[in-house]
Order: sequence, then C-alpha cells, then structure tokens
Amino acid sequence: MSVFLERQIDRLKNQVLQLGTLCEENVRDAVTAVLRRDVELARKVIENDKQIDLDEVELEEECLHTLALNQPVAFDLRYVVAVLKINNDLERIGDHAKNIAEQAIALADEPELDQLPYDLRTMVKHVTEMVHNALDALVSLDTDQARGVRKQDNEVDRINAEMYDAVIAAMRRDPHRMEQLVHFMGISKQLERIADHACNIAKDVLYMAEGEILRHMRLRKGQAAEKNA
Amino acid sequence: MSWVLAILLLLCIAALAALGMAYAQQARRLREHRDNDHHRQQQLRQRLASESARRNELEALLSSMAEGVVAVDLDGALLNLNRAGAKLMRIDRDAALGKPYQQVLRHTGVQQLLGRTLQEGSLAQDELTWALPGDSVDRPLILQAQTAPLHDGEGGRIGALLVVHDVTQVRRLESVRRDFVANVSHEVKTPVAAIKAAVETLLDDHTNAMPRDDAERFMRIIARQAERLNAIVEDLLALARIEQAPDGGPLHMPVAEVRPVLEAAAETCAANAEAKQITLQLDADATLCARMTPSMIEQAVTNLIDNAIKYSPERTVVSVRVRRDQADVVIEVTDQGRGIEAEHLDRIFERFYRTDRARSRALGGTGLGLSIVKHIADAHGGRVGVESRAGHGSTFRLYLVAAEPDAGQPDADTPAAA
Repeated sequence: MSVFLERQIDRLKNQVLQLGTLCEENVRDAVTAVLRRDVELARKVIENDKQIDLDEVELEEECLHTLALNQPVAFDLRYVVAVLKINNDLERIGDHAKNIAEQAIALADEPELDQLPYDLRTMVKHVTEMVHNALDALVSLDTDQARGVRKQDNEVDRINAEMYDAVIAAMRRDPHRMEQLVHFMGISKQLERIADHACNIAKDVLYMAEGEILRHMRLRKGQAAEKNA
Repeated sequence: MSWVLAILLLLCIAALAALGMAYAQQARRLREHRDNDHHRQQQLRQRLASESARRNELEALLSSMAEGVVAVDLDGALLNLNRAGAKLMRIDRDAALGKPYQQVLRHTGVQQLLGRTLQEGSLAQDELTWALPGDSVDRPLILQAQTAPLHDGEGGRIGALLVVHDVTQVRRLESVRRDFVANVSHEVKTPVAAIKAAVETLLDDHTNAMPRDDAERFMRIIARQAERLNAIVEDLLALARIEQAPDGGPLHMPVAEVRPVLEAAAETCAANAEAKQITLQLDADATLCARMTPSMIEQAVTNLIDNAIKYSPERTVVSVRVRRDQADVVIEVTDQGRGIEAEHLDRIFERFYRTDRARSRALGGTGLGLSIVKHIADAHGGRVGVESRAGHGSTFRLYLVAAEPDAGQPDADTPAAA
C-alpha cells in the first residue's frame, strides 16, 4: 500500500471517529435533556446536529477523493466503501438524536410524569454503548466486538417491544397524560432505530474484515434456495 | 676473534634492551588506553544512569499528579498519558500510547480543544461533561480541561499537552450550597408572606367592622404559619447543634440498649399512624446495644418513622427492625409507600431536597428531616442508607457502632473497645 493511501485511510478513520463521537454524545445529551427537562441542552443537541450534517458531507467528499485519486483495491477498497456507508448511518443517528431533543423541548412544556413508562435509562445506556462499540470495532477491526453489538441489539428490541404495552397501560390509567406518553413512545422508537443503525455499522465492519455482506442474509439465502429449486 | 664475539654479544644485548623498552612502552600505552576506556565507559554509564534517573523522576512526577496529563505529537498520536489521566478518563494506558487522540479520547469537547491547539498553537480551555457509554446519565464527571502547545528545547512546536482536572465534587458542592440558600429563603419567605398578609388585613380593619369569625380565621393563619416558621428554625438549629457537637467520636458515647429508644420513637409517632390506620410493627432484640446518645437516635428514628407514615397510603404497615450486622447495629424502617425514583436517592439526605415540593409541603414537612437523620448518624460514626423502588416502598437504614451490653461506660482516659 502506498504511504499516501495509508495516511489517507488513517485520516478517514479519525474523521469517522470524530463524527461518531459527536453522534454518540448527541444521543446521550438528547435523552439527558428528556430526563432532566433541560431545554437548553436539547437546543444544543439540535445545534450540534448541523455540525454532524456538515461533517457528513465532508467525510463523503473525502471518501470519494480517496476512491478517485488512489484507486484502492481489496481490503482498502472495502474500508473506504464501509466508511462511506457508516457515514450515512451516523448522519441518520444524528437525525434521530435531534428528533429526541425536539421531543424533550415539547415534553418540558407538559407537566412531569410521576414515573417513566419504561426503562429509558437502561435503553439509552445500551444504545450509546452500541454506537461506541461499533465504532471501536471499526477502528480495531475487532469482529468479536462487532458481533457483540448485534447481540446487544436484541436487548434494545426487547425493551422497545415491552414499551408498547407499558405505554398503552399507562395511557389507560391516566388519559390526561396522553400527550407526554405519546412523546415517550416516540423516543423509544427513535432509540430503537439508532440501535439498528449501530447494528448496520457493525455489519459493515464484519463485511470489511471478512468480505461478506451480512445484511438481509436470511432473505437472500431464501431467494438463492428458491433459484436452485 | 673474541672481540667479534664480544661485539656481537653487545649488539644482541642492545637489541634485546631496545626491544624490551619498546615492549614496555607499548604495554604502558595499552594500559593507559585501557584505563582511559574504562574511565570513558564509567562516565557513559554514569550519564546513562543519571539520564534514566531523570526520566524516572519525570515519570514519577507525572504519575503522582492528581491532574490527568496527555501529550500528543503534531500528527495527534499519543506520546504520553499519566496514571491519573488514564484513571480519570478510563483509558487503557498501554493500548492508548501511539494511537491518534481521536481514537483514544472519544469526546468532542476534548477533540476540539486538542484540534485547535495543534492547528493554531494557541492555549484553550473548557469545562466538559465526561461520560463513557454505559454510564448513568444522571451522574456524569465534570472535567476542567486545558490544552497548551508542546515545545522542544529549541522552541519548535512538537505537539500539544492536555491537562484535565476533576471538578465534579466542587460543582456539586456549589450547587448544594446554592440550593440551600435559595431553599432557606424560600421556605422562610412563604410563612412570613402569609403572616404579613393576615396582619395587614387585620390592621386595615380600622372600624372594627370585621366579623369575629373572620378575624379569628386570620389569627389562626398567623398562628399556623408562626408554628411552621418555628419548626423550620428549630430544625435548622438542631442541625447546627449536631454539626457543632464536639467530636469525641462514638467511642466516647455511652452504651445503651436500642430497643427502648425504638419504643419511645414508635410511641411518639403512634398518633400519626393511628390517624391513617397504619400498623406500626416493632421487631427488636432486647439485648442489642450500641454506643449512642439515646435522645439523638430517638429523634432520628422518629423522623424516619414519621416520614414513612407521611408517604404511605392508609391501612398499610410500617415496620421497624433492628439487627446486628458484624460491627454494626442496623435500624431499618420499611414502608409500603410510593417509593422514591432512582434519580432522587442520592440527594434526599440533602437539606431541603424534595422529590416533590408541593406534596411534601402539603404534608407539613420542613425538608430537613432526613438531613437531620444523616447528621445524627455522622455524629455517631455511623451512616444512613436507603433502598427504594418507585411504587414498591422504601427501606431506610441507620447504621450504628455495636457494643456489648456489659462494655460499661466510656472512660475519658481509656476508651473501651466496642
């Protein structure tokens, strides 16, 4: 690998990490804003999302430059393509964090709930951990860590699935709090989507390391079987 | 013929002598050389030793600093990271060295500071909230971070230095103090405002036209609010007294049985419990003793039972238990009330801290009850604990230093071991 390409890939790595860090913090801050009814923090998250959008464009351009100027092959090519896709996922994560922050602002206007309808703290803990670990896996090319992220997603999915029943029960108990509860339902959905994006990142890392596309594996296997039959 | 032999012999002797001299000279030179070499080697060894001692000294200096120190080179790769920094920011030191800071310091604030200093060579500082994924969102670390350009001996820029300082505790204390002042003013102002309004109304009645009933109503307001003010002031004074108590420590306190104290506390609260049809269960081993000032512990337990009754629905059970746990005597007050949310648990022992202001005041609390319990526990060399789940009730625990019943009274000169 040419020295130039090596440096360029290091640059991409640092840039994607920087973007990832900002996304991770935004998710945490957005949920903190919900929990603490902190409108100022929520505004900061929304402001930071603009930076995420700008960084995303910059990183994409950097990736395209690398592809055009260095024409990487094999692993390097997979790396640049993976970063290109991860970039996309990160930007979406940023958008979800922004949505949560907007809900935090709306919630701060409503009376506070006595009790959260579901375990938001544990959920955000899992989700930020997943984003962090997925990026760690990208840097260290640790396939075990990437697989761990996918496993953790099951936990988030479980909390999200249980959330529906809990929120509906809370709505029945206390119809006056309908508005807040709808917001909390939305927050859970957003977090679940963020976890999915973290999973996508993990899958891209696995693709990069092992060269196999893992997304929609079951569907594609089914189609292949049909074709053979 | 003989003279020829003699000359030859002489020549031989001369040659041998010359050879010998040359050899001796050579040997001397060699010896000198060796000595020189030895000397130089020794010098080198000394210099190396002093160099490594200096490096060790620097390393020791860095690692014993309370502040976290991180040095990065111009490319952003980590040159050094001291022990405090690794611990504070929870970084694996060995794995981190040599890696770019973006990989190791996953925090936007820190990255911006370092980025700015690396690019512009300027100083920068900021106060940051530091949290790792998986940390509770309720208690982040607050770090004061400063960056400065790193220069070599010739003054050329070779990187940047990051120094972080943990100010979490400082900020926390600041907020506690700010809350305390605001709370005292607020708590005192509310009854004063009510009294003022009532008194003004009564004074305005120049013609004595006000019906007797109304006048009495205003007086009652004044009496009630004065009572409330009195309660707040008394609680504040109690707190100050406990804090100022000479700290001879628990060893200088008398040994007393725990059960009578609990019985007295339960009796004080019996009327309140009866009003809500709450059953007060007392389960205490009569032999358990602790080093304590009974009147203070009675007040602490009374506060705990009173709270339990206040926050419990009607027709439930409040139980008071006491047990021995190694060197502690543990007094437990358990209720079946509404419980306390996790985010409040840390702060409920603070003065005037309330999970729900409106409700607590409606129940007649001064906001100082638990704070008094905590201070009494501290004065006894003990501690307080709480365990609670929202909707499932709470358990408050008061830990005291256990003592044997026959340990006798403390003596100022020879404090008996508990």
